[in-house]
Parts: sequence; C-alpha cells; structure tokens
Amino acid sequence: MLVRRHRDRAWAVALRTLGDPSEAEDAVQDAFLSAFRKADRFRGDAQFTTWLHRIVVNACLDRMRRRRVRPVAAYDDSALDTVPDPRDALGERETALEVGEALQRLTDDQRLAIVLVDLQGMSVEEAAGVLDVPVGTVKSRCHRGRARLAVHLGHLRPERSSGQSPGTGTRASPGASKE
Amino acid sequence: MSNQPPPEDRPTGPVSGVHPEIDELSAYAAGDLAEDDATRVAGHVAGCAECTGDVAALRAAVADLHALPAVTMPADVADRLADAVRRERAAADAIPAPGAVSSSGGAGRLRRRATPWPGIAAGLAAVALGGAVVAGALSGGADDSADTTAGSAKSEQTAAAATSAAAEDGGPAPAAGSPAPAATAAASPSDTTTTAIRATGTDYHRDTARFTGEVRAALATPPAVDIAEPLSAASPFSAEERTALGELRSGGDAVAAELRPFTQDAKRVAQCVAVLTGGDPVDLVSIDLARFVGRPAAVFVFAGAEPSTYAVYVVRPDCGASETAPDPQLHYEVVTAG
Repeated sequence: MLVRRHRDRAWAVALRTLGDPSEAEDAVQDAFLSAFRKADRFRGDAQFTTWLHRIVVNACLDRMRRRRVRPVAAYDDSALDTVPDPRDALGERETALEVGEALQRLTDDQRLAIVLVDLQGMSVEEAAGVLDVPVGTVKSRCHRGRARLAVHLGHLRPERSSGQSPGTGTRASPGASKE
Repeated sequence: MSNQPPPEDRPTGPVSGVHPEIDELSAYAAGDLAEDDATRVAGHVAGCAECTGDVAALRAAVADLHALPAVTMPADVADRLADAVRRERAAADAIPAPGAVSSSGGAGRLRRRATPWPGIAAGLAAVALGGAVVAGALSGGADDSADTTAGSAKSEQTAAAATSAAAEDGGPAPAAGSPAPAATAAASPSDTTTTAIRATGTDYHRDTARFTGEVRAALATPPAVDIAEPLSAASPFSAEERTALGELRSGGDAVAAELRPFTQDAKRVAQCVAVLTGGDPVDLVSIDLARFVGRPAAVFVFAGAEPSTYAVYVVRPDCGASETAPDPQLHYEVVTAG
C-alpha cells in the first residue's frame, strides 16, 4: 500500500540515521506534524517523495544537533584517525560491528548520504535534492562513508581509511580527506 | 573529490607506485569515476594486490548495506503517530488559524502557475493513519513516479529552485475538512504578469458562500495598482507603483494603518508570499487590503490548482511576524471564479 510505503520510508530513514527507535519515533512524529502543518499552504510542485524525505531528514538533523550538545559527541574523522577502535584493529569479522551500529560511527553527513543512496536506493541526484547539497558532495560523502564502514565492518584495515598506507605504496595525495 | 591525477614525478613501475586514495577506490568500485580516472585506477588496481583487496572490501561494505533488512514501522509506533496526527488535525479544525509557519523561506520569486495544494494535508493524514483515503497527490505520481522524475531535482540548485522544476501530476483529493479542488488540471491559464493590489474595504466573512461572493466581487473591482512581477525582496516597488500605492494609502480609511506596510514595502509583500507558499513559485493574482470579520486583514488571491479557481488566504496584517500570533493565516478557501 502506498500509504504504508511512505510511512515505512520515513521510518527507515529516521531509524537508520538516528540508530535509536525512540529517537526515530520522535523524529518521524516531528516530521509528519511539521508536514501536516505546512502542507495545506504549500504547493505540490516539489516531487512528493523528495519533499517528505527532506522534512524527515531535517527532523533527524535537529535531533542529531541536539544530541551533539551532550558530551557523547558524534564520531568524527579525526577520532577515527587518531584512536582506531581496538575492535577494528583486530580486523576480524566476528569482532566487527553490526552494520546498523557501524553506521552510527560515521559523521552525520556521511550517514545521511549513505542512508538515502545505499539504503533507500535514491539516485545521487535525488539525494542531493533532499540534502540540498551538490551532487559531488553526496558522492564524496558516500565514498568516504563507505570506506569507514568497510573498516568498522572488518573488511578494511583501519589505517587504509585514514589515508596513510603502510608498506611500500605511496599515497596519491594527503589532500583527499577534504569533503 | 580526489580525482586529481597522481603527481607526474612519481616513478611508475610495472605496478604504478601510487595507490589511489581510498575514496577514489570507492568511487571506482561504484563506477563513479570519469573515464580517464577510471582507466588510470583500473590500471593500478589490476597490478596491485593491496588495492584489489581494498576494492573488494569496499564492495563488501556496500553489500552489507544492501543486505540490511528493510524496516517497517512497528504497529505501536504507527498507532502513536496516527494519534499525534489526529490530534493535530483536530486542533487545526478547531482553530481557524492553524499551525506554525516557517518564515525562513526568504522571498520566493513569483512566477506563473500556482497550484496550492490543500489536498496534501489530508494526504498526510492518510499516510499517518494508514487509512483508506489516499489523496491523489499520494497515489497519483507521488510515489511511483518518484524514481523517474527525480532528475528534476538538479544538483547545485537550491531547494527552492529544485522543487519548482517539475509540475506535479498527482492532484489534490477532496477530503473532509479540506476545501481542496477535486483534481489537478493543467496550469492555470492565467497569463497576467502583474499582481493587482486593491483596497476594497470589504469585510470578508468566514461563511464559504459569503466569502466566495466577496472574493469574486473584489476581483471584479478595478485594481488600484498593478504591480509588475516578479515581486521579490530584492526589487522594490517602482516609482510609478509607489505613486499609485501612495494614492491608495491616502484614499481615506479604506486601508487600515496596520496594513499600510503592504503598500510601502515590496519586500514586505514578497516575504509574506514566501511565508504562505514556502518560497515556491506562485501566481499571485491579487492582494486586497481589507477586513476579515471586522479586523484588518490582507486577502491574498493565488491562481488555484484547477483552471478558474483561486486559492485565497486571508492573513493578519503582520503576516505572522509577531510572537503572540506566529501564524499569518486567518482563513483559507478555494474559490471558483464567478
């Protein structure tokens, strides 16, 4: 049922983005009430799925910002570079994180891009419309996020995702860590 | 992005000594690289066990993502969501000026083809309730056409520009409590390039039949001034427009003092339109500086979703700017042309 699909899409985005069912519920409720209040005076030009996703994404961003005020800060790139998770260093599948948990180790931006593109199956262009950023930015966030996920999931050596390769090869450029 | 070529002065052995960056490998694995970059990376990967392993690792990560089970909203969550929307709707029905407004939209450029979409509120209620009512907006193009029309949301555009690109093929559906038109036809045939500003002094009423008659009568009144579009915060009224509006202002007490900013400041008008429309392009037909149930109010008439309909918003003089009454909207009605 279409109706059901929209609801589930919103739920999937919020749950995978926030990683916590009760937060996801709050975000979806915020989003739907916000959409409901705005809807009767907003035009239908915006492609509906994009429009609804944007409202859900904004509700999630709100929650993440609030969460970041607390000391349990988001895991950012520098944290990964300097203090690799010991579990990752083992590089063994059985110690690897669950995918849902690993997603939470990404930056908010990377996670949102991956949720929309890899989990929701959006095109990069559509995700760019939802996130209101250039297509190149979505791609960059996806690729950096996937690399970090590969580390957290135990597929990839942690030092590889930080741009410092051990051994013989030389790195192409240290500058690629910009978003 | 990391698409820059490797420095030329690197020695290139049988296997290129320069490992691509990991995110470039990810782009390569996803087929996202431009052809020459892809060729270069492929050439390296083919001879580099390390990078071959990295590409496999990145693909495994993506496979893990794809293997995540689809989640569906648990029934208890859906129930609470439905309750929340039901409460919101009840509140909206009880109070004539419902909801909150984002005033952050900035001033939208005003263009042709207004299709205010009152039906979507009912549609969202249906989404949340999982009810049998599926608004046309949701059932028509909304979901299934999503994947094919997504290209309208172009990359570097602003959200406003992106959302204005595609005409919606799903129309609003009639629903209880919503004055939605029955279907969406082609864009309003209105070809005016101006917005009529008038001060009829009409005291509009809430009753639909009376309100409709009042709107039609006002639209039949010669406008005091036609303001050229596009109207935006950045383009002030022209000298001629200011003169005409000045006469409107000095024409006795037809324009209440609270409404005078609408005659003085194009930015004020543009901002109010943006608040009402969310910055989407609209065809603003007329503004009547008048009254609503005895109180000063501005009546904004937009071209409706169907030909020969108008979406009419009655707004407070401050257009929701005050803290105590953050909602600009006093009344909303879809009116057919007389």
